[in-house]
Order: sequence, then C-alpha cells, then structure tokens
Amino acid sequence: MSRLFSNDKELVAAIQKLPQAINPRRELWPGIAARLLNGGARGEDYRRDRQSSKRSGWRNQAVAASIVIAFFAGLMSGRQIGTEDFPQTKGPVMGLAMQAAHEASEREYLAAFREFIPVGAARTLLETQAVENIENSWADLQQAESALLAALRDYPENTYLNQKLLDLRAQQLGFMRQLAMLDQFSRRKT
Amino acid sequence: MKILSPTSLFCMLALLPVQALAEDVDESRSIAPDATVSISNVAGEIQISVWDRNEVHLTGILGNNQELDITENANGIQIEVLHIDDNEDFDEAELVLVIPLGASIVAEGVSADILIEGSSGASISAESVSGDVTVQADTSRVELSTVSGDLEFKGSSRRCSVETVSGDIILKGISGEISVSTVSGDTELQAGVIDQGKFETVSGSLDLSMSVSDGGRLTVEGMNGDVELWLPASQTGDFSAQTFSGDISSDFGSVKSESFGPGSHLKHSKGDSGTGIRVETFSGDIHIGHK
Repeated sequence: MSRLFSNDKELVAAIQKLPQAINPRRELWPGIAARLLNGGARGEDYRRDRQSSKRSGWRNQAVAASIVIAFFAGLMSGRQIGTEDFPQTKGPVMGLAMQAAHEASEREYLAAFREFIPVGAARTLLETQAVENIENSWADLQQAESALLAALRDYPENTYLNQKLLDLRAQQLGFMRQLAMLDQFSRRKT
Repeated sequence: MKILSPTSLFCMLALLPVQALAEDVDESRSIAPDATVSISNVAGEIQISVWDRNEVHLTGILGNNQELDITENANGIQIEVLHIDDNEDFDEAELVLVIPLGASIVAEGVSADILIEGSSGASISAESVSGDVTVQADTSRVELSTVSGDLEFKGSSRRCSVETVSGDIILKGISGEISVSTVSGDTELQAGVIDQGKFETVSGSLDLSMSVSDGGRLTVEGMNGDVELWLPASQTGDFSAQTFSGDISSDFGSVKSESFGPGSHLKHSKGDSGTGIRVETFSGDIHIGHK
C-alpha cells in the first residue's frame, strides 16, 4: 500500500469523523439570542414566568451573561479569523478534501463565534478567579491553535496535523457550547 | 411619655418596608424511595446525604431576600432557592438535604459548592459554574459539569460523563463507559474495567489508570497537555499512539520516528481481544505504562 493511499484512507476516515454540525442537547441559539438582544425572554410556562419576574433585572441577567462575556472578551482580544489561517494543503485529493473540511469547520466556528457577539458587558459580577480561569482556558486554546497553524505552514501535507486542527476546532466549538449551556442554565436559575 | 395605642403601632408596622431577612429552613416531605430529588441554589452550598427513610429533610439558612420554592411532582420533588428582590445582591444559601438512599439527584448551582455523599440512586447529575462538585456515591449513571470549579467523584458508576473548562477532575471507581472533556483542567482517573472511554484535553494533563475490556475502545486526545496512561501488564489490544512534537514512551511496543517530518508514533498489537487503545497529542508527551 502506497503512503499516499494510506494517507487518503486516513484522511477520509478523519473527514468522516467530523461532525457535520455540533448539536447541543437542546436548541440554544434562538433563546440565547432573544434573551441577549431583548433583555431577557421569559420562560415557557407560567411558573417560570412568575419566578423570572421575581428574579430578573439587569443585575441577575448580568451575572448570568458574564460567563459568556468573560470568555468572549478573551476571544475578541485575541484571534482574528482570516482565510490566510486555513492550512494550504497540497496534492489533488488531499488538498481539496482537507480544504473543504477545514472551510466547513471554519464556517461553523464563525457561525458560533458570531452568536456570542450581542452579549453585553457585565463580566465584573462573576468571581474574578472564575473569569481568569475561563480566559486562561481560551488562551490555551488560542495557543494550541497558533502552534498548530505554525506547524501546518511548515508541513502543510501532514495529515496528522490537519486532523488535529479539525479536532481543535471541535474542541473550540465544544467550549462555546458548554459555556452557552451553562450560560443558559445560569439565566434560568437567576 | 406618650404611649402608642395598639392600633397606631399596627399602622406604623404596616408602613415599614418589607424586607426578607435571612431565615432558617426546616422542611420535610415524604417521597418514593426511588424518586428524583432536584435542588437548585445559585450561591452558597448544597450538601446532600442519605438515610433509610422515604422522606426528604431540608435544613439550612436562606440568605437575605431569598425564598424557598418546593414543588412535588410525579417524579419526585424539586427544591429551588429563589431570589426575591432584583435590587439586592445575591446572597448565599446553605442547604443541607437528607434524602432516601435510592433517590436520584439533580443538583444545580452557579457559584454554589455541591457535596453529595452516600447515594445509591440510579443517576446523579450535578453542575455548577464556579463551585466545586464533590460526589461519593454508588450509582449507575453520573453526569458532572463545571466551568471553573473542581470535580471529584469517588464510588462506583457504570456510565460517567464529566466536563469542565478549567476545573480539575478526580475520578475514582468508575467502570463501563466514561467520557471526560476539559480544556485546561488536570484529570486524575483510577478506574476499573472500561468498555468505552473517551478523554479530551487541550492543555490539561491526563493521568489515567484503568484496564480496557475485550472489545473495548479507549481514545485519548490532547493538544499540549501530557498524557500518562497506566494499564495492567496483561492488557491486550491494538495500541496506537502519535504525537507531533511531544515525546512518547511506552511499556507496550516500541516508538518510531516519522519517516517524513517531525513526530513519532507507536503501533503495537497484543493478543486478539479486539480492544482498541489510541492516544494522540500535538505537543504533549505520552507515556503508556504498566500499572
């Protein structure tokens, strides 16, 4: 078996492993976006409405939102996504397939990224240590991404590196998903 | 000295602003032995222990401007600390809950620490944002989640799902299926026999001790974090490990450098159990050793 063929198999397997979409356990974005833009949507039933009316207000919303903000502040101050970041793979088969996989991954990442933009500013109401921990975690993700992209510039055909970048994208999306779920959970509880 | 009449006194008291002050809690409810007990407290602490009665007993202290909402439903009971006044800051509530031994648990907090001890319920779910979650239990299924809080589980469980962002993770007594995901938290696992294991980290270290069942699957994926995997010397299966710029050392098979470019990998087969064990990092070191 040639090395190229082996790489292609690995590549196809890696691509097949890619999620076509990151599906949260429940649909998050419409509710989150509505709450963020409209200052807080009410719950689905009367009881939640009653509780929300008791507990909502800028202070409570701010505490909940600060989770995402804390993360997002670090996000915005760091990386700017550009097409130049895409690894420039070579070879007729691997290049096209990997490029397509990366572009799909980047599109999904950007879509998730944009959903966080409407969040207001209230990060100071979360514990300082928690904010720092979240920002440091995002910095770790950025650092890993930078290192991967640098390595890919040197070894653009390296299937393993390309796969790891796709894995990292999934982890970044997972990071956002987890924060979004916890954010929604916090809103519900505050 | 002028003495106020009872009517005047009543009127004056009625005009005073109503302010809910901290208050003691002491509530009991009867529930089924296998009911689900849900409890939610934004800040403070949730302590849950068990007894052999079909009864929930809640004690503790609510903070200022808080009230307790207790709802009984077909599945069990739901307890929630509500914040009354939006103009007041969040206060902490300390809740101590005793529940039936076999009751399932759903515990939620934001900055509240959660401590669960002794449960044998079918499932335990606990999540907090910045609070620590500590569980000692024998349960079928456990789901634990935090953002920055640390997680610890001791006991036994056949299905375990754990997520943190920066919180550290300690798990002891897990077997069967396990899924662990963290960004920068360190993970320490002392498990029994794992059928399906999936571990993901970015910069956190993974220190994993287990055996993998015949036909089982173990996947460990890291970026910068180091991975130490400890398996019995008798462990069989198809082993693979790969790193781009880290180091690999292993008691199972030998490590080879990549033919082209940096990196090293390991491929090793032992026996025909059909077990698959795969470890990958970008720059983190990998060690697969005998435990």
